[in-house]
Amino acid sequence: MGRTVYAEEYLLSYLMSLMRPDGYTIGLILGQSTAQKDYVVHLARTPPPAAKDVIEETLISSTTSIHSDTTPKYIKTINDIPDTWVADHAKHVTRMLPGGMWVLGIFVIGPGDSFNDNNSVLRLKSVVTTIRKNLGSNKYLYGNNDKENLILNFNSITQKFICKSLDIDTAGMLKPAEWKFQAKATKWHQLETCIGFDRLFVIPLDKNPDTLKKQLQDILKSISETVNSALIVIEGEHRSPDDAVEAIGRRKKDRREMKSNDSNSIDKTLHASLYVPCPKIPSSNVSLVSCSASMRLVGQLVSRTFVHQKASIEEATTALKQDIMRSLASRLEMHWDSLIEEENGSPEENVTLHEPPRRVLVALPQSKVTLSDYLFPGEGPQEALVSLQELLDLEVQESSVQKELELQADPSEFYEDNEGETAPMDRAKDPTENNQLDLYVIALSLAFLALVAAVLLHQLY
Amino acid sequence: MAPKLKISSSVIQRLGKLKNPSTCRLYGVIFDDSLLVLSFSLDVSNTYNSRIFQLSLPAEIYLCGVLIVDGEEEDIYKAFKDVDVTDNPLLLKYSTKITECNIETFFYIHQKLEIASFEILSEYDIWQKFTYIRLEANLSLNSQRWNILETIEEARKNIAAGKAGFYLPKGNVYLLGEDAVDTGNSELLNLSINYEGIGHSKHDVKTPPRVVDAFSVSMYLKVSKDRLSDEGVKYAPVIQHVKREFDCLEFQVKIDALAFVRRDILTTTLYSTLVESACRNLRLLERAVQHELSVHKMDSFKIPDIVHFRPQNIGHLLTFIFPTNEETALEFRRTLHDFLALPRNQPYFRNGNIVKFQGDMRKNEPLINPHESVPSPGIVDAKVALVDGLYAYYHYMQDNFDDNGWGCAYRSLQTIISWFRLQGYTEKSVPTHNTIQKCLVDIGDKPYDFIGSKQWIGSMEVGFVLETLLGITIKINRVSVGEEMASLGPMLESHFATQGTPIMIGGGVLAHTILGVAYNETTGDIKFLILDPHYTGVEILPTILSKGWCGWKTKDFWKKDAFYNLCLPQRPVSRI
Repeated sequence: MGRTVYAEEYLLSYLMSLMRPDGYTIGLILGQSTAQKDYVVHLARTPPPAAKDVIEETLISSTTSIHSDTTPKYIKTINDIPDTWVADHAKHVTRMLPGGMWVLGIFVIGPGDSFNDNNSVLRLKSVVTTIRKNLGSNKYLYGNNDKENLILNFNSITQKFICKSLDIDTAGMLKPAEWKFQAKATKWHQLETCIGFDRLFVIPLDKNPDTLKKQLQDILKSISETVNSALIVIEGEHRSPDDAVEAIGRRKKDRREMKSNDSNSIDKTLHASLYVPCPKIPSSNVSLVSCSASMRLVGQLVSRTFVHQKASIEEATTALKQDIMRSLASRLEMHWDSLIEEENGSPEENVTLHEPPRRVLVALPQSKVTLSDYLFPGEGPQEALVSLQELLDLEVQESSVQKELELQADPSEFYEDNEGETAPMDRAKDPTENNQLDLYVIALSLAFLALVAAVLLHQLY
Repeated sequence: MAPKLKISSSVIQRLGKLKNPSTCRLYGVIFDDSLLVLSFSLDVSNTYNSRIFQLSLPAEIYLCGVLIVDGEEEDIYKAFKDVDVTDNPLLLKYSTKITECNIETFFYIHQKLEIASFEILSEYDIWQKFTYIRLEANLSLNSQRWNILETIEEARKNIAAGKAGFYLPKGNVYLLGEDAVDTGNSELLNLSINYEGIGHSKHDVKTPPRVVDAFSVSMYLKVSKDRLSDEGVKYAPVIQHVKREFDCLEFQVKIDALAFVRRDILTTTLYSTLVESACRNLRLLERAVQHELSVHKMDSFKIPDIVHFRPQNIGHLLTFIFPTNEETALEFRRTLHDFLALPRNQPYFRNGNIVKFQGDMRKNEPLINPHESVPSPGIVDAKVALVDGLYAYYHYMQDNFDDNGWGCAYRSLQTIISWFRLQGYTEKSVPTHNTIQKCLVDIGDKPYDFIGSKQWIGSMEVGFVLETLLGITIKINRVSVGEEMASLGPMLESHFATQGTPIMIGGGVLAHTILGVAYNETTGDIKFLILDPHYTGVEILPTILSKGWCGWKTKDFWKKDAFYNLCLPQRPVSRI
């Protein structure tokens, strides 16, 4: 039996709006996939490569940039689909998807049935393969699901659509899939959590300095190990992985005689907590590491994920973990991509604050599912609107950008003192540290000032 | 209403050993509407007091009152102020001058002392009602510069603030917060007694097992924030990159904390108990680290280990972290001996005394004190004297070493040496057959080719090895014919009462270990508690007991016409 794909009804009219008489439009299918079913939350047209706007620079990869000058504004035949361009689009869009949602595949709108033509089929398969390859390049993006990919062909003449699924593992065999447009294809469970990071990563003195990118990748690796080892508890209830998300909160209600106004529980946000195990060790130990530098990851990461109505606890927790890692990986990737040159040049002591972009959430129209965008310091919600427009073909109001979940850090807090927050006042009797002395001096001066003030006051009154 | 008062029989026994007027502190656990007094300490030191000592107690055991020995209660009201756990502290007055009714108890209720009656619970009764929970976890921390103390303190505060979660494999229970009551799993834990693991059959044995059957708990730390909580920073993750050479201290902090809980404790109560146990552990650690920091250079600084003890009659486990400096550690042990009114001539807090947990026992590790599960000897009006403390049962074929037919005396010797280890008199490992043979060659008792041979050894050799390897003096008692064994009652009784060590008996025939004696002075009826090293099976207590490898034997056990040599190891004095 083939896969069944449920898509929100309003997406059909979106497809119709993309029809053109003389060419093809390609785009991405976004949503969640399960063993047998896929739930499509959004379809996003891949923007035409030649468009001149801000997004172009970041979207375009060096290999396609030369090519892009000659590419027309629309695609004449299936064979003209620029696969690396679409793959790059897929990567940008993946960053915006909550964990547990993926680029499920591609859609093609044009005058013809691509599946009837061998060359077209080969081309479409190759586009999907290129997307998968590109998404696999940063594993913490969790860009590829382990299910099949979808290819939807929408014939602009007959207005018929055919969907097939492509299993990369079985030598690229195409299987028929049933595509259904439906209102409220699934009810989504919304899960939320907020991770408070505060971890110090040190760079040992005897280690050759890595590039910043490598250092950030090491941080990602370490955080990933932590996140993946974590126990996730939803609404304070520990449950078996096979239990349904729907069951959460039921036990509570059974006992409390189910309040009548509490029935619409599916619309409620489920709060998840992450617990990291602290496995026992044979004995305590201490090691002294001489370091050349330190990197302190600090701040809060807000995660919001959605799982389909019948999802299991395991699906939910996997989605959540992937969301945290995808979000962190996206920011760091965007950050190192944005740096013009490595800043390893200056050997003298200094403090650098790396401010990766922060996450904002935007709800899809007619759905509670939110997608993310990332704003660099200084950017505002209007920047989010631009990328939503370009990458997701979405027109949204500035007011629907939820931008207060994660705030922008105040850099001065990190620069004000080289010791700063990371090294609170030292109480140990270490003669090599003279900070303590400084503080005594300050304390004494303050005491002296207070005394002077007291004397003055006394004399005045 | 006044709580019901229960006192552990171990407290009564310890009271009996007090000689001088003193003011003491009482420790106990409160459950239902009762207070159960488990132990007491003496006020002996200005630097070590009941507040610090409380950190060494399993969670749920608290300072609960004052004990006055032969004295006036002048400053008890001040002392009562230290009691946090109840509004009704206990006053226990004990008199060494009289023997009857020498204990008076009062609860302090509404500014008045009210006489309370009490019930004595045996250690066995207590063990049936309560159990230990052992939380073992690890905190991976690092600190820039030397603020290791602050780092540990912060970890403790996080745990105290509800950041910890716990998992109890028994029953597959997660404890994730005090409000766990809302999530529906507030059922009874029922940490019932696991008779199988400890080899107790349900009926005949009335002592708690020597190997502690604690329930293990693991820990989690929450990295997500609570809904609506204001904690921590609100800004998106940033990375502060500081390029400066510095020393970073990376450390793994071991948590090994105990709680003393009712076997039918509710899961909801257990959460805060476990938090308290972890916090006591970390506070203990902070004190230890503070001390180490004050005496060590940073590059030689170590975090000392957490260790648990259960000195005889103390009534509960104790958790300590000893200074790494041996002199200071000795000083601390002396303080503890005085503080707990333990004799100074016997070690209680050395490595060998560290308590054994069922969960830490290796597979096929020699059993500890199998004789404690042996039914009584069945002699009317018998005087009974047994081995004191702990030993491990060594016998043929252990450690995959085939000594069947020749190694019985070696095994008996190993059992004896294990006694000296477990009593803390030595830290030398139990010697192998080869080490024993080498020792006898070294002292010139045997020719060189003795090493690696399968030759027997006798009581004399056992004595030589004990003297040589452990520096222990021994007495040899010669019995020319087996019949004479029946007359050894008083001698053996005196040995076990004063020395308390296992005896090796050999001679013309097979070697055995004697662990006790029971005899009736008038009828002359006598039985010997024998531990037989000729057992070749695996460490299964019920088999060992039912087949008589450890049990009471009549005088017919000895061959009438054979001669015997008894090797009686003497307990060393004053090595605490």
